[in-house]
Amino acid sequence: MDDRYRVIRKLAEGGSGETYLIWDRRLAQNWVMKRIRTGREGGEEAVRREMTALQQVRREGIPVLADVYYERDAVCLIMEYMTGVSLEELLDREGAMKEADAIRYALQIAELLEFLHGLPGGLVHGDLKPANLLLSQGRMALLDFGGAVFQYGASAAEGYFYTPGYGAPELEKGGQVTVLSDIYAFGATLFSLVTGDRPDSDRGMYPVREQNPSLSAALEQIVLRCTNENPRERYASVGEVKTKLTALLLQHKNPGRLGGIRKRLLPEKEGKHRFQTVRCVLLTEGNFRGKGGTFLRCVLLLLTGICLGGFAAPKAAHAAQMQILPVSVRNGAGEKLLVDFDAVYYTKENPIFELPLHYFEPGRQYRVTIRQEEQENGTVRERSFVICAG
Amino acid sequence: MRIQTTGVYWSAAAGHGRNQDSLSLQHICLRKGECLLAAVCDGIGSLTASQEASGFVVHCLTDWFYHEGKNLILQNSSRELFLLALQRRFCHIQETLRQFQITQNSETGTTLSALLLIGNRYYLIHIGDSRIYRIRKRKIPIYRQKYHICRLTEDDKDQEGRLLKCVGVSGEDRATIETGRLLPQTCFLLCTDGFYRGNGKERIGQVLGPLLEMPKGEKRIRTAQAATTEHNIFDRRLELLGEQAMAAASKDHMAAVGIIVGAR
Repeated sequence: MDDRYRVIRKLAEGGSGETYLIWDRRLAQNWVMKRIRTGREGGEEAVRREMTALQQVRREGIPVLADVYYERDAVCLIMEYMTGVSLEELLDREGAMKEADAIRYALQIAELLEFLHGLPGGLVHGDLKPANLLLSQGRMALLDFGGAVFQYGASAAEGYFYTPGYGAPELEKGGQVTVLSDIYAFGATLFSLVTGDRPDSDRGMYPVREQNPSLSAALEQIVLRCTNENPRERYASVGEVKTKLTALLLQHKNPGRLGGIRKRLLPEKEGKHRFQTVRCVLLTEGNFRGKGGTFLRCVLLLLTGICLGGFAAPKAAHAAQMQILPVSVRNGAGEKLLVDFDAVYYTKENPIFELPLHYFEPGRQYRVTIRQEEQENGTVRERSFVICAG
Repeated sequence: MRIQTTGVYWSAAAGHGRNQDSLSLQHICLRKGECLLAAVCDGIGSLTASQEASGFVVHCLTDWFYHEGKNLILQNSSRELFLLALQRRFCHIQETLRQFQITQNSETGTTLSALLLIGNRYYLIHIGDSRIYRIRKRKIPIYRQKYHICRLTEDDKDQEGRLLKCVGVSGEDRATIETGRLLPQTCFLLCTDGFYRGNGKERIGQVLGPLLEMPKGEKRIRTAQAATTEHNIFDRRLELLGEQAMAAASKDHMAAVGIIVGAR
């Protein structure tokens, strides 16, 4: 081994062994050497599990197992070297993430888990936590397969270990390691991402919005369901969680609903128009999709019809004398439209007509008439308003 | 201006299935600073579809806030532009409800009291008999009156208590739209008639006034946890007032929004 590899530095040290960065003289590239002591209890089992798992997995975001060396009291796994920063370091350094960022990362983790669970036999990672997730150039990588098992047959009695806080409660009681334990760990990791806090195994999982009220209720529900103490109450698969998260991310991109209000109203854009919601409440029993909604559509259709027919410029009568006054016409967004006498507007939005106040002398009454002619059949419609200038 | 905390209370009268009152509280942070829209509407129960009317009005104002209002704030628009934009939105609401009544061949209506806080100014839009109160701490406390509570809106009612103006059925083209300077350490309360009638001005001042007391001489650390607690306290105070009002006038629906503007 000394002929081929040279140890550059120690990367980490844990209970089961050490990890080194090594240089491959033959291939002229860096590898990571994970040296696992076989003397300790469960050490051999961990090596066997990690080897079995990594041999069967070939995917971006999961390190490739290149070589294995056996020593007297240890086994050395030579694996792909991945650069980046672990999520644990990132959380320690920068604290909780924004909701949208956390969801993006969570989706990447979910993709990796979905791939593992979809392998023949269903590979469960078993030790998912921020320390085992590496962020490299915006992509997520999953490390440390020492706890990985194929779903069928493994249990705590066979030397299975877990990290307190991230390990599912049923594992403490010697329950079976299943996809659901990974879903629990996934929920706990998501909890850490959005709160910057480590889940407390004694206190149990608490609603994330206690920690960060700006988070959406939907995300809180996802975390709570993933980390439900009863495995049957959790999501049945990572794919299901992924669907929920994707929908939530889409809401962030194209807001639809947030905190009880119709998120359609919150057109969050990137850059200068970005805003952060502190508290948004809209409480009503008025059914907009009912009568109001139907009516609005009717009005829109009516106005669309009128607009397509073409608007004649509004005319204002000053006392008995008829005057034609220029008006400002704006579209629904408040943008000024080009206006001319006998102008025809092909717009689907409600046009807004503005008459400047200085047209009106105080103390007099004015009748403003909007006259509309349909170009096709010449039908004329008029609407008059009486304005009392104050 | 920094908004310290907010609270909401919304409850239907006992025995009445649907709450005809609606409220909206939108508090957001823009790069220009914090801004807030609060609105309460009291649907007129004797008319048809009053909850639809009140819901539509708060919805429409919220829509305006996130579309036009937000852009006006970002463009540093003048106060005249804000007043004009609010008036325009009011006309839009009124016209829409008028058309609604024509198409449905029915009458509907709601009161409206809304408050917009931007920078160091407040804008209010009011029609009907909902109210907006402002509570401040007295500089020189009068016996038993530590807080000064004043009404920013006038009820549009005649001497016999009949509602003269509202959004919808009365067809008013103009609402009371005013602006004023926003002073620090002020509490605003927007509430519908059931809420203030069951409590009275003084009791409202007594219950909400103490929330204005801020720890002095020490740096206030504002955390998310603290903010939640503050919201909870304010919500609880409004709930107390609401319960009192409900006991006094159980036939009325209740909606109230409170805002405390902190020190700069």
